[in-house]
Amino acid sequence: MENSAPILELRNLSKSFPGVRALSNVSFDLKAGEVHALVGENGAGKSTLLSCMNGLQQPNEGQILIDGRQVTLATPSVAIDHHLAMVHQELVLCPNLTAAQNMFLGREPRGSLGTIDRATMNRKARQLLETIGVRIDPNRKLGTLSLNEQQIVEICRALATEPKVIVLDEPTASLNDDQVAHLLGIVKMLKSRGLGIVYVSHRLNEVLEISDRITVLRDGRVVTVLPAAGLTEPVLVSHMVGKAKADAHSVYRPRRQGETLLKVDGLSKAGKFKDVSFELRKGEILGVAGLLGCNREVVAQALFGATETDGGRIVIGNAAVKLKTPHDAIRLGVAYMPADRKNEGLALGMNVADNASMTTLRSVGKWGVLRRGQVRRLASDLVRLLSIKVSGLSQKASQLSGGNQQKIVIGKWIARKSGIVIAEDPTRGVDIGAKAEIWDALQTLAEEGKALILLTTELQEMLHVCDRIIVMSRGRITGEFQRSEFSAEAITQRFFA
Amino acid sequence: MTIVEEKSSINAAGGWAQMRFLPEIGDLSRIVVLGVLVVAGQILYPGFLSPENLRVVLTAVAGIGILAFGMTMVVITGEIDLSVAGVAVLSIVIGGLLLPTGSPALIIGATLLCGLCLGLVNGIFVAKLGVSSLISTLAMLGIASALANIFSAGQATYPEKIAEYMWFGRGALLGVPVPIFLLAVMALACVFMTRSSTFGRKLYATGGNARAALLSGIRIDRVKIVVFAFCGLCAAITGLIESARLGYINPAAFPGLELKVLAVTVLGGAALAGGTGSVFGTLVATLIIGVVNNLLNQMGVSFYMQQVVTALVILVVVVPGMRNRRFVK
Repeated sequence: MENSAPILELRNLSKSFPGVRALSNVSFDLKAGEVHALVGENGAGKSTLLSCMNGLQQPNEGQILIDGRQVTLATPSVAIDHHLAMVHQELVLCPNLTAAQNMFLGREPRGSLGTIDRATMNRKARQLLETIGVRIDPNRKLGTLSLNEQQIVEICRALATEPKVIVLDEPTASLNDDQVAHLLGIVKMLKSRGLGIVYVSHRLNEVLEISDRITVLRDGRVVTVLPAAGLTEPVLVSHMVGKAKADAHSVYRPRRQGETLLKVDGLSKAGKFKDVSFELRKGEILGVAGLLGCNREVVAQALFGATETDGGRIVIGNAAVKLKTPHDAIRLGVAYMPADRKNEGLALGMNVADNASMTTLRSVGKWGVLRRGQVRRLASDLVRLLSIKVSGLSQKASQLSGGNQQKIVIGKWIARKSGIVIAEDPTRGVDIGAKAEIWDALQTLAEEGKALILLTTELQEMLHVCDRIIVMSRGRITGEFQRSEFSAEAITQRFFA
Repeated sequence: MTIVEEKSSINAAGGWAQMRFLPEIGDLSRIVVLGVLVVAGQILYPGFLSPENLRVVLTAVAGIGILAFGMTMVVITGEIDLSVAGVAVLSIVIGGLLLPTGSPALIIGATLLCGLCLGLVNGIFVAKLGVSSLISTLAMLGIASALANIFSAGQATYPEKIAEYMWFGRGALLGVPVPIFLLAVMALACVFMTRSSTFGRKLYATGGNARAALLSGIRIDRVKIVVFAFCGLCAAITGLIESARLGYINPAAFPGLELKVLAVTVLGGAALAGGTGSVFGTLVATLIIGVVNNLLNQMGVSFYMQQVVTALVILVVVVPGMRNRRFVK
């Protein structure tokens, strides 16, 4: 087995998006009967690499070989034709259809008249479920199955395409420990049947248990490929995080902090987070770190009135406040820069000026009449301040690059002059130069006495600019670090607490 | 001076056009279509551009145009109002019930108030209760039309003795027929509301990206309630104009009006997905429909054939714009 040729091989894949290089020269190979894990921090390039394997995206450079032959995976269905199956992180199934119907969606066995052959379909579904040793009635509606069982149906759906390679993207993200053990059992069984498995997970203990080899990605590059045997979690973490970048300390500008502006006390939301308490001072940038699923972004939304809470208190200044809508929060001086700028930050069909003035309509208008001069002044000030590259103030937001879109989201909140600024991934998809400008702008806000809460997917970024970092894991605060105590290893370990 | 300033500031010429009252590019194609139709009309029928004929053209579409302005605003927010015919007819029937009082203020006031309130109810259902506007306004259409028949016992009433009521359909102001005058006033008011008020920005933001608008502190529920209420008011005004033109209040009036109004709205460039469209475009679309109908009348084309041609005109104008939008995420 060790010497066999790889069934899947990626050679020097590179993929760029406007303003960002997501993958550079990534090579990866997988042998039959092997579990090869892909790990890396958020933003390391895992998703892009999987999309390239799956035919959702095409690499700009490099080759994909299956069984030694070069292929072009133009669409996911071409990937399936090449015996490459993907099990998605988010379940992509129809809850209103039965388990069997989901497994054969779009590839239903046909009868003589071209009608769906239900009997064959159900029989095949039952066989698939038996091969992986699970008892689920294929006639049950998917929506009535547990999350764990739905995951298994998703795996069966992949198996129904008779794959040689299965890509499992965070298959255990929503499972409890027993279910995880069950799933890992299934993975081992598939491996013993000679399938190649690409395994992506944030849960490093699982990765170490199940994999034969581990490829570590960082900043779109392969850092190292390691045999899993004998590897320990701290070593793996240090590879993922890498050495702190040399410029980490040059970005940070020491600043004075004032009185406490925001106090969160025992804030809870059923199923999302529990007992979250912290304080935030004027002039401080507080990082909230954690993995996908720690629900730190839900806490951020709660502080902005964008989601309801069911316990605890929020105190702004000296008054306990109730935030029912974002409008309430904004009036109390809270700003929120969402990570998902396309869905939450911008109206893409509207122009730069209209987007930039969206939070300040009251002040750019007088008696409800829009003062176009004010709108233009506000927008052009922001364009200059943040060096936003636009062809004109009437350019549609959809025509801007990701980085410039992001700057407009930031800009519209700078214009609002809120006292408390919550920023989620303000540099997502932004090139290095723009990143520095955004960090500069955020630090300037802190120097002006504003209080900032920062959530980024890359821990490194928070290490650059934060005064303090709290860590969340599964909806609870699991650690707090002052700037003097910052260490990527120590913080990352609290992710898994 | 202005031009120097424009050049020195960061934006190019594109910024200028949108900041002013100039039509957007999308409206330009409609203006061209309208221009071609008008020129063709004048060539075919030399009397086409006479003041008398223009008065006929404009009076015929004034009611539908006003209602289409209200509909355009609803559609810009990404919603739809299918209840307009029902709202219009119930509003005039309520006014008709008050005819015996002989008080013009009461009759006209009640008509307008009824439209406003029914629109408000639509808005509350959509914005506060989260009911799909397709469903809630369809229900309102059924209920309002039925109530109009119940309240009036199916009988038409005749407002001819109330001069102020009749003024809405047959009066003139400075030589301009009142329906045309109202069309112009409403057009100006709506263009101002959508383009020059802060409310207009909220309108487009709500339709363009409701989530982003909400997270920017825009109370999208209020925006929607206001536009539905306004659309209801427009329906009452249209009802008033049309019933005054005809001289009687018919509880079975306006069947299928909502689809005609929607047709004008999409012809004007509004997309049912929300976020785009303009009152100016809707005004041009109203004029296109008016000119087409008038020309077909002059040609002696049958009523049904006219409907076919009108529908084809809408397809010809709307489809090219749609093709560009397809597949664009």
